[in-house]
Amino acid sequence: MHCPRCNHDSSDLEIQCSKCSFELRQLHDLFGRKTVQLERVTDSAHCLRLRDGRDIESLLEEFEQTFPQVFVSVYVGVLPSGLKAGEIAFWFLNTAALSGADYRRLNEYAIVLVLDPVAKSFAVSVGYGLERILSSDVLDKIMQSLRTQLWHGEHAKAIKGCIGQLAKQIRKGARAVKKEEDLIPPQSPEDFLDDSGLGLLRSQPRRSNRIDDSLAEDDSQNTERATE
Amino acid sequence: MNSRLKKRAAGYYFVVQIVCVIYLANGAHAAGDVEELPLPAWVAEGEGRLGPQVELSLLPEVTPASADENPDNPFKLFIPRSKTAAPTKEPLVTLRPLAAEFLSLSENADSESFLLDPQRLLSETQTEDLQRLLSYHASGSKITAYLLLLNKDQILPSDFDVSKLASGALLQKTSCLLVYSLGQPTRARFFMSKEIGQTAPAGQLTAMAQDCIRGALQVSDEVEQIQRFATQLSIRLFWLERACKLGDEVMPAKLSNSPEVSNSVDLLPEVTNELLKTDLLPDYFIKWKRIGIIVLAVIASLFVFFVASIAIWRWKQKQARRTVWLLPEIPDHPLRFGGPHGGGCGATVDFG
Repeated sequence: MHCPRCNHDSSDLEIQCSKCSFELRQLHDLFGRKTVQLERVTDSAHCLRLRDGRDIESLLEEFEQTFPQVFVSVYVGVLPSGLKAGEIAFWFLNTAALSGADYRRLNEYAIVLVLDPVAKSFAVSVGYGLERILSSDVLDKIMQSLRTQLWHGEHAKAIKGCIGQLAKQIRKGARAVKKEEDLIPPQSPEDFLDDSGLGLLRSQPRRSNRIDDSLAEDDSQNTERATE
Repeated sequence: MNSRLKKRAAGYYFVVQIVCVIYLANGAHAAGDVEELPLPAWVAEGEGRLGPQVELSLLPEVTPASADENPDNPFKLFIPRSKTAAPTKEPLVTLRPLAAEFLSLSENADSESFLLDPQRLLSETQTEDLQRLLSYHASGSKITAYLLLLNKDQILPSDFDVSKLASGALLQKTSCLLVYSLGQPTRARFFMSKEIGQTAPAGQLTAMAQDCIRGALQVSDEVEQIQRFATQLSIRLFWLERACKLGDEVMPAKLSNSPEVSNSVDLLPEVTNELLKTDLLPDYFIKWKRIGIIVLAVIASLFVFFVASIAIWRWKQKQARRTVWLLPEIPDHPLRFGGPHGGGCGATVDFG
């Protein structure tokens, strides 16, 4: 493993980097301990065109359908000085929650890509669940293959290429299973309304409220008369 | 309203233009009538010539022959020299049947004289060469080849019985008669024994004739043509013999003795094919035809490969949509760098 800050080789048992003493707590001290929400694609540097952003999003959606346990998040932004892209990727991986990701997807199966167009640095960080398949050497090779595209400023192309290569590598270590369409029809109209996401504009129609109110008044009058 | 006026004006303008053109044409014609130069007068001596007798004393008389021969001809300077010789038109020849005396000579010829040249069209050496070739062929092949040589403008009479040639030797054995007009290989006629026609594979005889003619057309010399023709015929007859699997038991002599066979046409049918003449295409065309076939085959194979690739790709896409990939369970792991979900497994590339 490499230290996200100094890229020093560290053994599996180290809690902090033996060279620069890097650990997650230092980042918590900087950014706080609160969990942050991360979108599939975040372009705070505005260096992705709208079409490219949509292409990457659709690619990630397809990726998540192919690998139901894994999710990928792409962050493109200018980082504060003194912080490296690898550190931010590491921090996102351990503290961020992907918005919209279902409960099956754990951060252990997450892949975070961080691109800093100013510092000209591109980093990837994967969770513990992907370490066997996407080892540091494999990731190094993937990143090195994107260097030319990044140098030419083809950021979107590099990100797409990175996702494609990651998918290719994951397929090698994963098990193919036939997709199951477990769509169960609703048991009752209430279930249908609950699952459909259709919300009623009013709790009850106004006219029926009036009728109900008038009926209630009639009932109360009747009961009063009866008591009299 | 304006558009109507414009249309009307355009119509008037068009009519005026037509009137002007007609007037000018008539005027020019009328002027020509007035100022026309006198036509040259025809004289009695110039009756056989193509035009009026006009003496041009300043320019030399130019005739087709003199224009090419005279080096001082000034017009020749402006005419590019042709690299190839000018094509000469061959006069149309009226075909006449072979004379009866030559026919009788051919009929009375010895059965071992495979070359029938009653008019002595070939020289002695050439005759010997051809005779040697045909004799050698007859010694090795079960199909004996006879060659009746005619002149360019000669044909075989339509009522002539070819079975009588060479003292009737054609009916005594399996044979092939070639009636060849000197210098005109395309007019060659083939007569084959009946059993060859019955047993030969389809198209074999036509292919044989085509090959012979094509081989002869590769040269222009008449004698060389006939040599090539005969050589090719000999080769193809050997092939034909093998293809027909002719054995010793098949002897046309039996056929000749049988009473029901009375017509020689039945015994020696002529190899005819309407496609023969159309298939005799020039060599360059055949070469390009082959190249075209190869190119077409390549294009077709590429197309098939392309379609197959697309089909495989689509099938893979379909399979991929129906497949999901599951990862192994998360192994027990120590927390590296204090990260609960990831322990610094990653990579960074700097592209600045």
